Amino acid sequence: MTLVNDVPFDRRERGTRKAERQPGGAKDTPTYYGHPALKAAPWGWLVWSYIFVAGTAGAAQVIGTAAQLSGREDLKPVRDNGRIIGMLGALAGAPLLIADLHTPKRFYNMLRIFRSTSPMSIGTFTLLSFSGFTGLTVLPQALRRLFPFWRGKKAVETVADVAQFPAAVAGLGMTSYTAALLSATSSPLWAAAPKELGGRFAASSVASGAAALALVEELNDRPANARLLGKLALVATAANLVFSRLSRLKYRERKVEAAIDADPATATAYRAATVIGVGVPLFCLGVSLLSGRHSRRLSLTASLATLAGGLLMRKAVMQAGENSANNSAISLTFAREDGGRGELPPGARPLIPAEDGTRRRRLH
Amino acid sequence: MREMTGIITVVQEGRFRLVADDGRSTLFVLSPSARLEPQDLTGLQQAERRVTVRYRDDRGRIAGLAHDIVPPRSGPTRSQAAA
Amino acid sequence: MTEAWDTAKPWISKSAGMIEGSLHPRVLDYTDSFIDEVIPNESELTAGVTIEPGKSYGFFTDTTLCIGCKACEVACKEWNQLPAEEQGMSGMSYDNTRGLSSSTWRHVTFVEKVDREHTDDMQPFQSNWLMMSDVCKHCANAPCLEACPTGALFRTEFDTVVVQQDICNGCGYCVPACPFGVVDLDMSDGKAHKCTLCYDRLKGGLEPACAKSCPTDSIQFGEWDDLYERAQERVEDLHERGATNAYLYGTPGAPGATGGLERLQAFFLLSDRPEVYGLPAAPTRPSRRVAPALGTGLATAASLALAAIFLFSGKRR
Repeated sequence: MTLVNDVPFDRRERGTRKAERQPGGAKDTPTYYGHPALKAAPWGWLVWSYIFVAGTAGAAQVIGTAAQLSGREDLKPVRDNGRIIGMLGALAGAPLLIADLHTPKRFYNMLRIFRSTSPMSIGTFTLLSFSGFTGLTVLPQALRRLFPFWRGKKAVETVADVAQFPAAVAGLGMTSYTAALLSATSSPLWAAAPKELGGRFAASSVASGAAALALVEELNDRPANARLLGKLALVATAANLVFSRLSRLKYRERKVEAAIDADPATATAYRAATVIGVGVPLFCLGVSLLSGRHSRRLSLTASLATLAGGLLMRKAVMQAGENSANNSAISLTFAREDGGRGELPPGARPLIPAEDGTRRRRLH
Repeated sequence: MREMTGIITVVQEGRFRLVADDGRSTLFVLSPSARLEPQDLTGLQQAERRVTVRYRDDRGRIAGLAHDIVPPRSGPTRSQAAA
Repeated sequence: MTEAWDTAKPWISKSAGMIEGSLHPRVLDYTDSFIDEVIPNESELTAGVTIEPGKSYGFFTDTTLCIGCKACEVACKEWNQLPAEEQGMSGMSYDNTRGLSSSTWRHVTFVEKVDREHTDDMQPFQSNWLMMSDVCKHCANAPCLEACPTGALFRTEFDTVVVQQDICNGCGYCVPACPFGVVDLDMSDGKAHKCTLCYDRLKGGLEPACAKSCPTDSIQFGEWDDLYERAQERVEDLHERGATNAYLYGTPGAPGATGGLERLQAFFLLSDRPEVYGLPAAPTRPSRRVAPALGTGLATAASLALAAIFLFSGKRR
């Protein structure tokens, strides 16, 4: 066991150094030596990767259902691939979440109760039902592969077509519940704009789902389908852009913006996510649509950029939320009744610095 | 992995104090990878049986991180037996 | 060594709820220095309160009485067998503990309010030194409990909030949920930890360790309603004596009990802005944001699904 004297100097002084430079928040919000007033979520890449995977898989099933509803023969591959992407997402999602637990062997305790106030609990059961129904929807394809000469396929296909609808409902949940998961915390950046974050995650998920399906269609030489999915991706990306702008305005209003802008790594990730996930696809798909001619290269670029940008956006939002929790100037300003806009809570009133420049009133 | 043999005297949640054969007491935290669960520790404490704790140092804290608790590897030393 | 002490122990009468200078009659039953049994309902002697399941208990931490001795920190670590942290010097006054964590459930803050413009007429004693013993607030609508997907966090029969260590799987969702930065995940044992308001001691009729060890009664343990009454009287008293900046934090309608949190089972008397002590002035209940986020998300996704149906319904082939 090491003694206190063995602790390296840089670790010892961690608390002091940070105190001086805390960007963001209102200037008149004091802090306790700049020490974090909140604790950041103890999550890593597993969680932001999961948020992306869950959203993409859920949206792919939703889009697949739309293809099924259209009844079009040429969109059958979209339906089938939506099911497969949904299944792959479900298969990857659960291990990602379990690996993120700090006592993974007790993962099944998640199923002990259902709590409507906890998006983590809502999400557990959303993922569970999504996995179950999606499993039923991929059954025909799986059986066709495994038992080519088996004859009872008709019944299984009916089961799959019926299961498609609850799978889509759960898929809608998969695109959005992760926004509630982040918003229903005390980390200022996540808590500042719950509606906007919900819209962003949902729109980005649909864009990613459409992009993934378009990618598959393009690679299988079905450009017409890829073009149709590209249009959907364009609409979803535009919605994503609107919600991103709205959330930026909210962040500015609530004085939490510095959680993104003051940390170079987060700021870069955030900007890159917008350029790659929104700018590039909008440009590629826009050019492709306006020119009236389908370009395979533009379509592939747009799909890949949408997927990469979606993943990067989740990482940037996750990182920015953690920054905001670790920054007491931001978190204590955010938790002011007036949100740092001027009026102070009742207990604080006698201690506001006076107009004439004199400092606080003394006790006696 | 290091080992320490003694008797568990106090248990709180997943933390326990082991009084080693030399009389020194050490605080341990039960690792999530251990076969035992926090609720099993109370039984060991009440039985007052000697146990061997296999542990590593807990980073940043003055405690051991117990990865396993097994039946004692060695008997009490001669001086203790005499006492 | 074991000779009985004088029965008149003035320091015992510090306990709240007793008339000053007098002794609880039961004190006379235990005059030996070494008692070989657990005193039944010991809290009656030490805190003047009988601990019964079904009643609502809490802490009233009066920061104007805190002298920063850290007896509460030590008593808590000792009783709960919490390991010491090797953090070195913080540079934050006498506070090297820094904050609450998975292995620190009471934390004394030291705020040195040096008024640089008034150093000449500042009084020579440390009148501007604020100390506060921070702890889990055991909120009435506890956000950690509302966030817990396993049910490991639960409300006890004493109206306190406790993490059940045999259920917690270390998902960590309670950590960002807490608006006070109290709950912490222990990376070594992979479970969430926080103050239990000495759940085991309450079950045994003992006052929580921190409150019992507090030499100035800055930390008072008792039934919540009693504590609230006592706290209100204390504020009035302080105001009469000229300390008009004293106020309660965490009681209904006061800072700290905002945004749907209703009230904190462990509340405080503060004499400066909450932020000075590292406390949020107007924390909110995170579960209120589930519906807006999920609702907008579902509506957006559903609208885009409709857009997909519209797009796909075009020309049939």
